[in-house]
Amino acid sequence: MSKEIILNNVKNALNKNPLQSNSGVYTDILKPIENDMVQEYKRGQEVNKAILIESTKDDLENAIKSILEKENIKQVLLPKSLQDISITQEKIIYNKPVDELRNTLFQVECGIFEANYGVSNLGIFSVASNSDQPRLLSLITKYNIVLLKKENIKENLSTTLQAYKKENGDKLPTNILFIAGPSRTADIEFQVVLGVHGPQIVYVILY
Amino acid sequence: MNPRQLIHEKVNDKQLNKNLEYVMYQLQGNRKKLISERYGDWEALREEGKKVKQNALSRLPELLERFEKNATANGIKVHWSKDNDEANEIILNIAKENNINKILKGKSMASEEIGLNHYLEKKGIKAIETDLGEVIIQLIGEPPVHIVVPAIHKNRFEVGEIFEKHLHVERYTEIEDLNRVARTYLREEFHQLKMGLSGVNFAIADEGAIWLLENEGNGRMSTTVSDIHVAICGIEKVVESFDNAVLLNTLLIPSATGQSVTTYNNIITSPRKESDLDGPKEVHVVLLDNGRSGILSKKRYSASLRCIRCGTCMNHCPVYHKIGGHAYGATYPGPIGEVISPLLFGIDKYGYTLNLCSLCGNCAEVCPVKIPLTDMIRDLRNEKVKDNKDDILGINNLPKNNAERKNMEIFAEVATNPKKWQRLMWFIDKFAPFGKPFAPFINGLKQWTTCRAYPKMDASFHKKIKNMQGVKYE
Ligand code: SF4
Repeated sequence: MSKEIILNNVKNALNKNPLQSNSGVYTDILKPIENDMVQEYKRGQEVNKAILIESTKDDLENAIKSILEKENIKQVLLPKSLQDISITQEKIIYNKPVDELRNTLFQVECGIFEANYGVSNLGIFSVASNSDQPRLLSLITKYNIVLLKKENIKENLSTTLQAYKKENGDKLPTNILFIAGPSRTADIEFQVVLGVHGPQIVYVILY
Repeated sequence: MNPRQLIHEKVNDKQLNKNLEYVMYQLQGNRKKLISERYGDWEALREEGKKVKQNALSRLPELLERFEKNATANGIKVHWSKDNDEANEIILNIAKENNINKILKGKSMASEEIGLNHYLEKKGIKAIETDLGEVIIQLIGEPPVHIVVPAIHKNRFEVGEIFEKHLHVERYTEIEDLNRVARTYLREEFHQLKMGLSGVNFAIADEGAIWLLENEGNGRMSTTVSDIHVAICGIEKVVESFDNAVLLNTLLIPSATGQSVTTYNNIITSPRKESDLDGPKEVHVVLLDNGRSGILSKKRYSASLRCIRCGTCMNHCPVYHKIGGHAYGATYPGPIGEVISPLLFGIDKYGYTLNLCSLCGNCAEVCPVKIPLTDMIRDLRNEKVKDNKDDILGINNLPKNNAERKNMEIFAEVATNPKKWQRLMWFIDKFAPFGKPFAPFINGLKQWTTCRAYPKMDASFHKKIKNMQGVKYE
């Protein structure tokens, strides 16, 4: 069995060449530009090329509506938790396995979902997959509208991952994503272009 | 083409030099600006990063087993492959068992290392690259020129021609249009996707999870819309905890691209659960040794396994700037390539790349995990000529280089004898300038001057000292 062979080789290597070291410790050395954690998140999220909109819980629906109108979006992909939202656009509810929705999913223009956390020092948001919010919501459409509660903004990746672990007990979500904004590439002449295989335009509504 | 011809061709490829130089300086500048403006004690963090990797390597058997145990409990299937043949075979079998004849790939240097595309093609399975840079070079059958920006040697006009010829579209020259062409081409492929392949940036033992970094979303597509996701993971990628990975991530991204964060950090802990609506139904992780345990056994070189593949050593290498990645003739170019290619694949095959280095030391100064690359390159050069050879792969196949040894002995003799040394200096001072026109005919100088400028030789040190005011010359 290769497992035994590899482990033996690794053990023998370490007998021949014993390495010693304490493990390193992570400290957040990013210097904030804003004093306040939410402000710093907002600044960073815009640097990362997401369009940031502030709203209140009561006004959330209006904020969504005005984005949909502004961008002239006709079709929206929604998780079950947002299916009752009152909008005039055609609603496609992501409530079936991808295998049954595949053709539709590749056509929809805009996905809306709730982010689990924001990460202040990097200006990014995080979303974990679950039965309500499948992974493709944040990937397959040209537009994304992301809802994020101010109180869910954490300091950095480390504290956010701790929060996930705490919230989920022993079981981590299948897929944890940290997303900076629109997908991008700089593979040709190192020029940044937005919208490669993921969304091209990402709105974050902070409430 | 032999290595000398290849290097010669690359040095004289003006378009390559221009494209490469421009991007390398941008990458250097962005990194420097970001680190100095936004980060606190970067040097201290490098030290911590080094410790994380060193510690993980020192406990590798334990961490590998813990990773396997936790990943398996999460529903991930873990495979072990001692070499490239075995890794390729494992991946082929997964495809065969599921009647798959086409796979889509996110960026993975390990898959380049094992020659996966070529292997699968021979077995009738098409492997399609999805990272924009990789798409470009796959269409023209070239290997990556850089580990982070694989097609950076091609400018927009060249890419336009490539797409016109191979994807049968109109010839575009705007980067946005070129991006759109690639998006449309791949969207079709993603729609049909059954099996996706990726690399791994960090494998986290405590969680049994893998962490993938990217900007384009092709990696997420390959690992999300597919029914089966296979990740190839070098055994040195295992770290203990989430926090270890966060620390390395903090070092990796600014070093690689001069940004603080990639667009996507994709942490996968399991295949689709019963309640999930999407995600692959199977996730496989193929752990790959392929010579890594051999490197681990070598005192002088084991630290090269700390590498987190940021590519900044090549961005800062003056030789890489001039010749690009292809001239190294190996999967891993640049300073790190000079170290690991001979160790992984044989010093008889890749030992010549060690002579490309000017030992300027830039690489070791910027490496985020403090790998002493220059020391290793120097030591490996020494391995080639010394008497008690270490058991470096392929070392016994090297031809005996008695001339080099003789020359060094003569040099040592002259350099340790003041009289002889002075005489030599006098000789160089008088006659070196006449050497220039004859350089192409003198062995040694001939090789030097085909790719480099004639050395400026100034041996008038003693004369200058003598003429200095207040110096008493005896
Ligand atoms: S050797 Fe260091 S600088 Fe070079 S790719 Fe690896 S981590 Fe980056």
